[in-house]
Amino acid sequence: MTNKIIYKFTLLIMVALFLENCGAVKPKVPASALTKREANKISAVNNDSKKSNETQYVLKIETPVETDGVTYVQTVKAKSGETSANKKNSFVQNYNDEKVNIKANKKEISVNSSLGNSYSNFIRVKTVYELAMDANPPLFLPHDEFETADEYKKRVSDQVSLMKEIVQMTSQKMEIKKAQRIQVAKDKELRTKSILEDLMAESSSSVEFTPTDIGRYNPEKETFPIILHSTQYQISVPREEARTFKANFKSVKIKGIKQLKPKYDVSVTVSKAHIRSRPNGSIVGIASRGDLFEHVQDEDEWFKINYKGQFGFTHMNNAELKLVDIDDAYEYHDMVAIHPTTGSMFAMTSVDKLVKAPLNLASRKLFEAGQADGPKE
Amino acid sequence: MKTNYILIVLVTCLVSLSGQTYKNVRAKQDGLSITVQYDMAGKLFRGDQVALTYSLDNGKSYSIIKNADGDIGPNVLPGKNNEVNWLLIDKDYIIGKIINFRMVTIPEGMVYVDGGQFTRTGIDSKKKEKTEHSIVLGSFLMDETEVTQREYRHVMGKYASDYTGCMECPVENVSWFDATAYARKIGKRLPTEAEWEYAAKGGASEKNDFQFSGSNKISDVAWYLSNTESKQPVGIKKPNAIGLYDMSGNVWEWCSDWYHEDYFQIAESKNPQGPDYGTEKVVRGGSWFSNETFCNVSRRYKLKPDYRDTNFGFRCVKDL
Repeated sequence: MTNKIIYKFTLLIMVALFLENCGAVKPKVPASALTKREANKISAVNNDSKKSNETQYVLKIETPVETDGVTYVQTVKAKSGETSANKKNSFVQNYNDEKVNIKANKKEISVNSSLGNSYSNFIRVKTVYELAMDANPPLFLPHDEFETADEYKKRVSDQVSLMKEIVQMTSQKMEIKKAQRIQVAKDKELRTKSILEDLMAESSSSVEFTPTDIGRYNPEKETFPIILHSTQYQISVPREEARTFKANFKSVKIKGIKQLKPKYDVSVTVSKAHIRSRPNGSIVGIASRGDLFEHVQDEDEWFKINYKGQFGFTHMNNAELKLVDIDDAYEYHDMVAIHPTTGSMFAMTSVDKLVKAPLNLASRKLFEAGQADGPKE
Repeated sequence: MKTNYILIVLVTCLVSLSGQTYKNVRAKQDGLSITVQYDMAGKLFRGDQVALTYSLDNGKSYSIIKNADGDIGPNVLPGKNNEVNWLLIDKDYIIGKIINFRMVTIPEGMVYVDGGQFTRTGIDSKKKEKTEHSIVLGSFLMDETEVTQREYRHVMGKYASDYTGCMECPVENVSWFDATAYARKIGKRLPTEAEWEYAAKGGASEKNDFQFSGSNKISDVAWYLSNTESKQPVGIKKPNAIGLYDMSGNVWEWCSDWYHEDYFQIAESKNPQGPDYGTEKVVRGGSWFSNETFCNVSRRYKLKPDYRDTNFGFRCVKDL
């Protein structure tokens, strides 16, 4: 009985935790968070904003409105098409209406802990007018009885200038942030690439094997097939040495270099690249610039990729390789087979076309220079 | 009892660990922009995307933000204090509103459909008069293409009966029961008829008054009787305004609703789920074997749920 209760209780807690983790619990604005006056006002502002298609400036005022634990930001609208006098009048009215609800003391906007995890706090978005007012309160005082018409006119003109300045400053700030982000991402990518290449270079060492088996000689191509570490290779041996090579293959030495296998992503570099079922085959999808796919291998002038769980092909003119990780397994390159009696060295090439290592710079440069031709996509 | 208990604990933990969890999502206005910071746990699967959505109706529905900068999109790394910046210039609809945000993960191959309101027009079967009904839907995710032969084979471990070798073509010869079983198996469901029509018309986007899904020119967006003699690979024609392909033509798509001629005249306006009972299920969108009339986004059709044919397939939706 006790076990049953514990079991049910634990189950309930876990389901509740899971729902919260997934953000399935929707946040609710407490009914008391808005006064009736505020609600009416917001609705009025919303209606106004729907009616107008004119550009409006929005400014930040560092004065959150806090009600029952939820913090709002005060908002006033200022339309760029309005005359200065209208603007001033509408501002004064808005300000008088809304100042009732604005607390004078500044507070940091806080996250309401009662909300679901994936939901943010609520804020009220301020207008440029209000932000400017906050930045320079005296500029927005009502027309003083001792102030000349010209002085007042200048002040209104300064208000507009300040608003424009704030708009420009925000745009500039965003541009700077964007540029910084791009730079940080580039630096990070370069750092990662450098670390991975170092790791691969460190793992690079010479190896020597003796083959345990060798396939049937192809006299047309003058090659022997051979399998090493689950990869099929071909050894190019001229016919005149092929017989003695096979007869003594158990004494053949294979030398080469092994290094940790790199993992690449294929990054699309054109605005639209076709993904095909095979080289020059039917189109199975379209990828956009910056899309990344797991690189499987190269096939002539095509990258074979993992496209939505299936193999796809995109032309090398449309994409580039990005080193993203290294595998636990080794790959072998610069392999040669040494004839046991003559000492001749024969090149070994991979039939499966192994993923190219970053050290194989010559072929990489060819991709990057886009020297390989292909259909225009 | 003990075994069950352990099993439930394990399953719950595994489900909780999969995908992303977002925490400490906080928004603040920064001049003309809004900055949203969040902590994310769990590595993003390849192809999935982190998206930022906002609500102006006290959290009832959330719309996706497409022009923000920062830690959103497909290559976001888990970590603390990820940041998104949203510039507010010319965003009149935000000014003066109370707003909050929600971080969501959009799985690969799915489209975020903003919740909203749309008007359904129909003909009263008795009075033969044109009727209009307003329907309100919450946000949901929808497959951007019809489920393909390859996907069906992958999930169900078998081909649908009329497999003809085109793996990227929509799966067909599937009954409503087959479609439902597929959807359930991957944690999705079939769309309601209202969701299907709303999405086909372009959802909350402004370009939502086309006869066919995405255009008034059917050949731009659909495979139908006049331009093909068979089903075609998905995603070739132009998508509609929210990025959904083949909502008109290619194959009819099963919906979850039972069919009733006058359902929308009596349906509740919020998230209608279809009649409680019926003998036929709704299919929508027309197919490669349909003429223009049947490919219209408002056109309804119905079939027995165990019916299978070479021009009937489906796509799935997922709740947020």
